[in-house]
Amino acid sequence: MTCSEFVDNAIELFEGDDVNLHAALEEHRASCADCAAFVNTYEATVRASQAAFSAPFPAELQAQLESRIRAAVLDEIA
Amino acid sequence: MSPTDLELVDATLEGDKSSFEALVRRHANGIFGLARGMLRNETEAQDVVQDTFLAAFRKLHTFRRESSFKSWLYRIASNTCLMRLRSKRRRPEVPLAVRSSGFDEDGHHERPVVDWSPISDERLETRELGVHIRAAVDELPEKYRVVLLLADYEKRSMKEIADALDLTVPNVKTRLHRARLAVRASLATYVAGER
Repeated sequence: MTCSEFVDNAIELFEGDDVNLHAALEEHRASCADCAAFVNTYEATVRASQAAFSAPFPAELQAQLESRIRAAVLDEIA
Repeated sequence: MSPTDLELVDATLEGDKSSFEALVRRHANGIFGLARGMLRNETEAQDVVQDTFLAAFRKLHTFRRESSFKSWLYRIASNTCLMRLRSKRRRPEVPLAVRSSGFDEDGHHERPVVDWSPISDERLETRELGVHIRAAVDELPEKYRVVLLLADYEKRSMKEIADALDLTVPNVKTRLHRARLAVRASLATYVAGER
C-alpha cells in the first residue's frame, strides 16, 4: 500500500467493516511515520468538529432561544 | 444530583411542565448547534429548535426508549433540517475541492507530515478554534456538510446516514472522508498560524 492509497482509504480505519483492508491500513500506519501523523491529525479534526458544534452559544442568543421556545412550546403545554 | 433525561421524560408524561422545561434547557443549545451547522442560518436554526421541541412534546408518548432520549430528540432535529433543505430550490452541487497533490510518483508523501494534533487538542475548547472550524464546515457544499454533521456531531452510523439521505454506505463514506479532509486542511492552516 502506498501513502496515497492509505490517505484515500483512511476512513476505513474508523468507519469500515472490511477486515482485510483494515489490517492493511494498520500495517502501513505502523511502518510509516507520515501516515501515522496523518491519522493523528485526521482524528484531531473529528474531535475539533465535535467540540466546535458542541460549544455554548453567546448568552444573548441563548436567552433569545429560550424565550422563543417558552412562547411556542411551554405555553402550549401550560 | 440532577435528574436523568428519562426521569424528566417520565415526569413530563405525568404532567410536570417544569420537567419539560428542564429538558429544553439541557438540549436546546446542542440542537441549535446541529441545526445551525446543517442550515447555515441562525434564524432558521432557531425555528428548528422550536419545531423540534414542539414535535418532541407532542410525540413524547411514542418515545420507546430503545435509544437515549437525546438520540431520539436529535433525530427529530436532523430530520427537520433535512426536510427544510429538501424543500429549498435545489442548486447545482459544487464539487468539493480537496487538494489531492502532495504525493510523489510512487505514491509517497512529498514532504513530511506534521503531527499538529496535540496543538489542536490543546485549543479544543477555545472560542477561536470553534469559530474557525464552524466557518470551515460552513464552506463545505451542502451534501458534504450534512454528512459531516450527522456523522461527527450527531454520531449517526454510516447506515443510518445512508438511509436518511437515500444514499449508499460507500457514497456516505466518500462524502464524509472528503469533508473531513477539507476541514483537516483548514485546521492545519489555522494551527500552522498559531505555532
